[in-house]
Amino acid sequence: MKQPVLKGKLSLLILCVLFFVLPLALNSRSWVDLFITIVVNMVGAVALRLIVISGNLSFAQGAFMGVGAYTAGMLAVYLNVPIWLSIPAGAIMATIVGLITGWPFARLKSVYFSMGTMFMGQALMLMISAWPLAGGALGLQRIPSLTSALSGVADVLHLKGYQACYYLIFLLALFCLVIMYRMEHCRIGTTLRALAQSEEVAASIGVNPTFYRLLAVGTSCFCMGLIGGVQSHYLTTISYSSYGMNTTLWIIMYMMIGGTGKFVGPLYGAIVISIVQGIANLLTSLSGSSNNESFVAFAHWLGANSAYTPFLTAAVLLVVAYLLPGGLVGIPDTIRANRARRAEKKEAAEIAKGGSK
Amino acid sequence: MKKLIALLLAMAMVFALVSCGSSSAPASSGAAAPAESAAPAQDAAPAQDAAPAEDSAPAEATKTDTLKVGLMVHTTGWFAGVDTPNYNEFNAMVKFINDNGGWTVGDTTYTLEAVCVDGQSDYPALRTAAMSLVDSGVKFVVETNDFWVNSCADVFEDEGILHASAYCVSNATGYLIPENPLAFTGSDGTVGDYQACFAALHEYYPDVKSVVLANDDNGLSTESLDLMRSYAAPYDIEVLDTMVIYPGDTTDYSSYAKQIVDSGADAFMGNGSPDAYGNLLKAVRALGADTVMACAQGKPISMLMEYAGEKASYNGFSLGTSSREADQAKNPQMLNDLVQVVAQEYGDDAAATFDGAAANTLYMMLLMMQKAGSVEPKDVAAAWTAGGQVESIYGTTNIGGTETYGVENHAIGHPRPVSVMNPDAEGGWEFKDWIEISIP
Amino acid sequence: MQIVINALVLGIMYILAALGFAFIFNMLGTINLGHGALYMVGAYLCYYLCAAAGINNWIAMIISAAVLAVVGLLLERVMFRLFLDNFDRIVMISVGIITICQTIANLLTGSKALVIPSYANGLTTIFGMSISNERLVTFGVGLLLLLATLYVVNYTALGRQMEAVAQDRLGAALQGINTNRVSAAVCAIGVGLAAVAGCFMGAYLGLSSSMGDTMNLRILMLVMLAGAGSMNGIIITGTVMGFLDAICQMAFAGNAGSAVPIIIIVILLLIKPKGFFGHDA
Repeated sequence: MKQPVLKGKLSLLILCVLFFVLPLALNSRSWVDLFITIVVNMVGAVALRLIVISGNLSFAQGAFMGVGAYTAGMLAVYLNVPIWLSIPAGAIMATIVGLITGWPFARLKSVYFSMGTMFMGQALMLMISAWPLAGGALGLQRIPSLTSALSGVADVLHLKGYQACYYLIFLLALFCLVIMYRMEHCRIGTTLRALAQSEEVAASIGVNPTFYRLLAVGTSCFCMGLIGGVQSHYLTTISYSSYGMNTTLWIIMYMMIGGTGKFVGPLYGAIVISIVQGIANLLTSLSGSSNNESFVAFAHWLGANSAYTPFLTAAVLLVVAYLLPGGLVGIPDTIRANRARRAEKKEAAEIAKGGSK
Repeated sequence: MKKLIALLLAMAMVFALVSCGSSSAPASSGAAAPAESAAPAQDAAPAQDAAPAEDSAPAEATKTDTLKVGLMVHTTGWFAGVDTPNYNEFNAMVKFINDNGGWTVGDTTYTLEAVCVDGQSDYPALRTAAMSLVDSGVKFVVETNDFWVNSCADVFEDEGILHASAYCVSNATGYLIPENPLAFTGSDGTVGDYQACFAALHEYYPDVKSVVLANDDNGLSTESLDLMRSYAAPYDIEVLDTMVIYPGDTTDYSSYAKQIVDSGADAFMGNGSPDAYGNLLKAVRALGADTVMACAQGKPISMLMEYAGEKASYNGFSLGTSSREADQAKNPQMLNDLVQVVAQEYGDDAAATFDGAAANTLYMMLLMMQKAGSVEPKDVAAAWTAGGQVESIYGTTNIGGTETYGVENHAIGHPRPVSVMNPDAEGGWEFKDWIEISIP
Repeated sequence: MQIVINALVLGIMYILAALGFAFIFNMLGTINLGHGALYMVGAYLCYYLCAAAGINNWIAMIISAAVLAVVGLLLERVMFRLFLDNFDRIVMISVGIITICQTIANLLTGSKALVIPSYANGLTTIFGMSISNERLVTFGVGLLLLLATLYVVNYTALGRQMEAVAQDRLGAALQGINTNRVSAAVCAIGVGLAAVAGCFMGAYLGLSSSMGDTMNLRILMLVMLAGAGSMNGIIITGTVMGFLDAICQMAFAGNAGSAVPIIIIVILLLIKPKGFFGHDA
């Protein structure tokens, strides 16, 4: 029983070190940007999982990220709020919106909760897009950029601008992930799991279900808002369409592909799918420094035919859906279970043989 | 076992699709390879024929080289449908140049090599795409829309890459600003669209005295009303205060058609997508109104008519080109040639919906390289900013935009084609003369 | 007055699109997020049958519905039956299907206008209001299909079997009902209906790769509002949705016009967490 816990922690540590060292070693914009994408997706997926372990699948994660992003962006654009204030403000705003909407939504069950949150997320983003101050449907433009805000820090640390951006995002993400990890591995996590099993039983032993659900939703929204806020400064332009249904669905996919069983699951899911989705762009960037002609030709061919890359993503989805019931993180379990089943079958066959003798 | 079969089925489906799709693929990638060997120095002379452009190109080119040109385009996601023509036309332009012996700048003849990246219709992904272009060593990038590229303009500026958007949806998106000295636009965008639209309205529908603006919820703000009015003023056309703005995910245009009819305007105008405008026209006609449709977009009128249906297709025009043989005499020769390449590479359907913005943006960059005599982004930018007149694929083109965008000479003004619906004409529409546009 | 007509016609269009979805949702108790994608596939198939093969659009619609019904059978076999009690897996596979369908649609669409030839041309004037025949035909067919579905559900053996399976799968199996066959029939009919809806909307609005997304949201709202197990309920919620959309489009400009109906639906859903007409399942 002890072993898996240790294993989980070890892989977390390795991941953490990798994500700290690699962007420094890889001296390339697009690699660092890929890491940023992965880290943002990781927080999204893990934050979603926090709600999922309480038994509900939320379809509004993207929208909360959008609330954080728009709050931070608009504060910076209209009130010239510095980034170290606007980003937390985004997180707080997302938390408030999450709690206000989460409270009535605690009444909804299973599919109705999922769909209700989906509608709400969609409505939130459409409202933002209809708001002229928020830039309307074209999105909020010219948000003060993270690169210039961090230029002083970057100089002191001898980092390139984009690396400084990455490390800020990485630190914020790490902060979120640590909070969520701690939450899951203390009594709160146990209670949330109990709520998923049976709300009535949990309530009967004195647990306030609404409080714990709101705690999970609030933390999740805080993390989404924080990462959305920093992302808005990084991108300098945001649009409601980046936080709509599609984004939410993919956040759900990161989580499910990784596997909801363990904390590290969504992390792996985010890594794998982000890389698959960005494969064409990644190869294009590699082609710049490569002398291998056939590789360059291949990269350019893939770039020219990137319209086909979603098939790859879909293939990964289907493979995981059909072959890996526990997601990526459940691969060892799946193999073990398959082996056990095969052994059982063999045994049964042998017994049957023995019986017939 | 069942799961395995199910999976196999699914996989087979995916790969069948991938493989049937990729049969059309090599065309675009193959373009660069043969051209590389077929660009010796003596081909430099035909290159000049093909480019009806410039005087400043030297008589003899002695060196050959490859020049990477980048294209940021959305080939997946919701914007993919809009961007397909840009992708096709850009690659057709590259092929056209290479087939005619490459592009001569100074004493070097360059073979163009297209590097396409996919923005996935999403800002974060677009930024990633921009960065991979940077890493791939591209110095000139064509993007498709100003509002998209705003999320990565700073990357290009940092790296000293010349970037030009094929289309500017507004003069106020903050793309063409003094902080982006390397940002340009290679078509006259929405500003040109509306100017041409009012001019065409005056020319072909002189009875129209009032116009209501109808648009999807994308770009047209109340502030732009003043700009519209300034374009309408010379023709004595009134632009109504009310605007009809429909959401991007409209499932029924009847309500908006009713608003148009109720406004009492003689015409409705806007730069909505062809499907939206076709459906809007259909819905207006379904209310029994004969309001004139002025579609301020470079999309072919035949496309609009397809959506609107035969019965509703009268009293309307768009700023689309024509690839019909009978109309070709009216087009600049280069445009006709390019349409032919598009037809060869991507089929007649793609040629029929030729728009040319991305191709022209690339061509403008190439012309400016010749003018500067250098392939350094800074020099090219300086040549562009110096202004002047060039022959682009749309014909005689004036560099300008100082007043409109607030930055000196980062935009261009070029003639616009007009296609007018006419149930009696062949195909239900006729192709009119090009309208001169200047971007002050 | 014009608004009322608009609303009614729009309502029937939504109901037409939602029928198949509601069918699967009510009988299998699971959500098929890929419904919008299948609706789109039906429309594209119909278009290519009309445009490429030159088949009459009505026949093309029937062929398209039949093909999609077979796809429905297949989906039931490889998706719903395997993961009936596993919503996560179904969502994953649905997203996979949506991705595949939309990518193909994107590749096919290119820069061309894809519109299914109109099922009816011309205008009709009712009470001084003019309305296009196309919409009237959509209205008529939608109504007809709705009535047919209600008849099947309420008055046939298959309908009674479906009801039994929906209420208690195991119990139904014990009563000698072939539950797999019933759910296969449900999926075939449901997906086939999606194709029919796609064909009509494809003729009315034209095809695009995002047509499924737009409709999917409307369908989900409509069916959730009606609640699980209620085919009759979607008549009312569909009409309500039609009115909401028609009125909000007149009252609010731009995206607010599509945001407000969603907000109202969310509020209604919060008042009645299990829909207005559903049974507690």
